Amino acid sequence: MSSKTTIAIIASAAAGSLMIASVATAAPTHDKPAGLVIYPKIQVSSADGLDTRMHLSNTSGLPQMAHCFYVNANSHCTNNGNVCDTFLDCEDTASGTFGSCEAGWIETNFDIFLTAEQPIGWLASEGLSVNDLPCRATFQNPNPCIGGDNNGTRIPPVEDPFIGELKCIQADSVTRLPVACDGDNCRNDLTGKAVIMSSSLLDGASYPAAGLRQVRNDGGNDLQVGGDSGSVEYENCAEVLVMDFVYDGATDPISGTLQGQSQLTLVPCTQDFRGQTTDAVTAQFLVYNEFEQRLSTSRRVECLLDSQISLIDTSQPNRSIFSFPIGGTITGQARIRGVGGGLAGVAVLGLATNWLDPDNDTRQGLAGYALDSVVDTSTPDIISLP
Amino acid sequence: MRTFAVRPAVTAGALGLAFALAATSASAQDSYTVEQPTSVLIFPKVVNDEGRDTVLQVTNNHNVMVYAHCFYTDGQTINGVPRWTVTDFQLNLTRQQTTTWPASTGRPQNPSDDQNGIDPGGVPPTVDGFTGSLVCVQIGSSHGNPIGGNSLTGRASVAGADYNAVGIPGINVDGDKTLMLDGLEYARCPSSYHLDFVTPGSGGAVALGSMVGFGLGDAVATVSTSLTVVPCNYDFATFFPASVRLGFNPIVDEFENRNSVGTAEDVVCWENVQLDNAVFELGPSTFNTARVNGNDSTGAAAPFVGVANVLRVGGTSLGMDSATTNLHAVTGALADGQIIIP
Repeated sequence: MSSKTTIAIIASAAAGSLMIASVATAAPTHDKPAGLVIYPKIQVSSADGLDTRMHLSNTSGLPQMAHCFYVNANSHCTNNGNVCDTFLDCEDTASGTFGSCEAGWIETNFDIFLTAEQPIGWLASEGLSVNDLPCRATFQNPNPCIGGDNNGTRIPPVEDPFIGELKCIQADSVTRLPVACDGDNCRNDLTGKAVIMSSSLLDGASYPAAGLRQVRNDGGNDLQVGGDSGSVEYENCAEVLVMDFVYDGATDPISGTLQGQSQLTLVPCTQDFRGQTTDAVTAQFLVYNEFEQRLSTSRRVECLLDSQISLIDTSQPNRSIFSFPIGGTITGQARIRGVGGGLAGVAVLGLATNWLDPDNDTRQGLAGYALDSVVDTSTPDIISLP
Repeated sequence: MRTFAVRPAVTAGALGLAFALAATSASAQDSYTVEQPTSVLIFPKVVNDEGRDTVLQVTNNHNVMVYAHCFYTDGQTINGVPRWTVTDFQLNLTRQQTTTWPASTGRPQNPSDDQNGIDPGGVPPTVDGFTGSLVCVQIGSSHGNPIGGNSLTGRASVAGADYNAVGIPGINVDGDKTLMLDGLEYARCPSSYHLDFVTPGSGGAVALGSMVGFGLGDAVATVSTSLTVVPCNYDFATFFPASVRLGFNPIVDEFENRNSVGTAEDVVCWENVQLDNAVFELGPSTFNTARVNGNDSTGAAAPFVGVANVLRVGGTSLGMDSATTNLHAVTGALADGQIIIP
C-alpha cells in the first residue's frame, strides 16, 4: 500500500467521522420552548386519589394554536368494556365467565388556542370546557383579551382510571398541521409541565414536558423527527435515555426507614395518529450499579410502558436487576436504548414503607424528573397526523 | 520496514484523532442543558437545614475513568451576614459509575462502611444550615486541569423534590483554570427564563386537585412558589461572590393580565426568591408565566441558572409537599460567564 493510499484512507476515515458528527445531534429538550411537547405520563384514578394537573404555555407574543393528542393506554375487558390490568378483572359475576383483557390504544385529539404569552392549565380528570376558558369571546364581549381569545379550545376529560400520554404540536389554526417553515422562521413557542398529584397524602410529582424543536417543516401530515439533516423537521428523540435512579428496596439515606419504589414511563416517539396503529419499540436496559457491575434486560414498549422499575424484568421484584437485593448499592444508572425507534420517558421516584407491595398506600415523597438523553444515530421517527 | 511499522500507528492515531474530534463535535452545544452529559454540572439548590436534606447523585456516562473537581458554596446568611464559604473535593468515577451521598453526611472514603459501591473519593459533609450550590468540573486526571469530556450527569433530591443538575457542555476546552462560558470554550448560560407558577396562596380544585372528588371533603391546600438562583459566574480561586439582578417582566396570567417587577431581587452568590410579592398575586387567575431576566449592574444581560420550587400546604389533615423543576430558558437569551478554579 502506498503512502498516498494510506493518507487517503486516513483522510476519508476522518472525513467520515466528522460527517457522523455533523448529523443533527440535538436531543429532546426539557429546558427550552419547542414546537412539539410530549407529556409521557398522565395518570387519573379517583379510586386511588390520583389526578394530573397539566400546564401548557405560549412563550411568544403572538397567538398560537396547539393540536393535541391524548393517547389512552388503558387495557379494556372484551366482555364489559371495563378498564383492566389482567383477565381476572374481567369476571362476569352473573355467568362466572371471564372476558379477555386487551390493550386498546385510543387516541383523542383536540385543539388549544393560546393568546399571546398565555399560560393555561387544567386537571386531566376534568378537562377544560368552553365555559371555563379564561379568554372566551362572546357576542357581548368579543375581545376579552388583548392578544386574542381561546375560542375553539375544548379539552376533554380523560377516562377514569386513565394512564396515557399527551402530545401537543404547534400548528396552523385552520389546517391543524404545522406551518411550513425553514430555519429561524420556524416557531418553537410551547412549554409544558405536568404534576401528578396524590390526595391520600398531599404529594405530587412534577416533571417538565419533553420538547422537540422544529428546524424546518414542509407543512405535511408526516412529521420527521430526527434523521437525515436534509429532511429533518424536528430535532431527534433520544436514542438512549439515561435514568439515574434509586434501587427499589434501597433504604432512603435521609429517613433511614423508607425504601425506594420508583416508576418508569416510556413512550415511543414514532406514532401513527392517522392510521391509528402503533409501532412497538424494544427498550434495551443496561443497568450499572456503583461497583460498575452491569446487568441487562429488555422490554417491548407497545404504546406506553408504565411500570414499577423492579417489575420491568420480572414479576418478583426482589429478583429484579432494579432491586437493592440484586444491585447492592443505593443508586444506579440505567441506559435505555430504543430498538426500532426513539423513546421519550419520565421517572417518578417514590419512597415506601414496604417496597414489595405494589399497592402500598403509604408511598410518599413522589418526585418526577426528566431522563437524560443521548443521540448518536440519524434514524428518524415519524409522527403521522390525520 | 520502517514505513510498515509506523503506518499502522499513524493510521490508528489519525483514526483516534478523527473519532475524538467526532465525539467532541457530536456533543458540542451552544447552550446549557439539563438532559445531556456535560463537562460542568451546577446543582443550584443544595440544602441541609431545618430537617431538610439533599441527596446528590453524579454519574459518569462514558466508558473511561472520569474525574471531577467539585465545589460546595455555602450561601446561607448568619445574623444577616452572608457566609459564602467554599469547600472543594474530588470525585473519581470508574466507567459508567454512578455515586450518591446525602449533603448532611457526605461520603467518607471507607470501603468497609455500610455505603455500598466504590467510594468516589472523600465527599465532605455540609455544615448544619447549609443552603447553597454545588459545582462539579470535569478534569483530565486526578488533580488535573479541566477537559471537555462531556461525561457527567447529575440529579438532586431536595427533601423528596427532584431536579436535574444544570449541565454546561465543553466545546473547545483549553485546559486552563479559567473556564470561559462564552459559547467557544464552554456553552453559555441563559440570561432569561420562562417561569410557570400558580398564583401565590391560591388553593381550590384546579391548583390542588379535586380533593372533593377524592372524598376528602372540601379540603384545600395553598400553593406558593420560590425560585432558587445562582449567578453563572464563580470565582473559586479568590472566593469573590458574583451577583445578578433579577427582573420579572412581563408576568402574564391566563386572562392575559400583564404586570412586572422591575428590580425584584439582587442575588449575590445564592438566593431563594419567594414569589410572595403582591405583584405576583394578580387577582382571580390561577396560572401565570413570568419572564425572569438577569442583568448586571450596568443593565447588560447577566447569566444565571436556577430551579423553581412549589410548596403545597394542606394543613394538619394533609400535611405538605414540595416539588422542584428545572426552568425553561428563553430561546437565544444567553450571556457569557466564567468559572475560575484554583
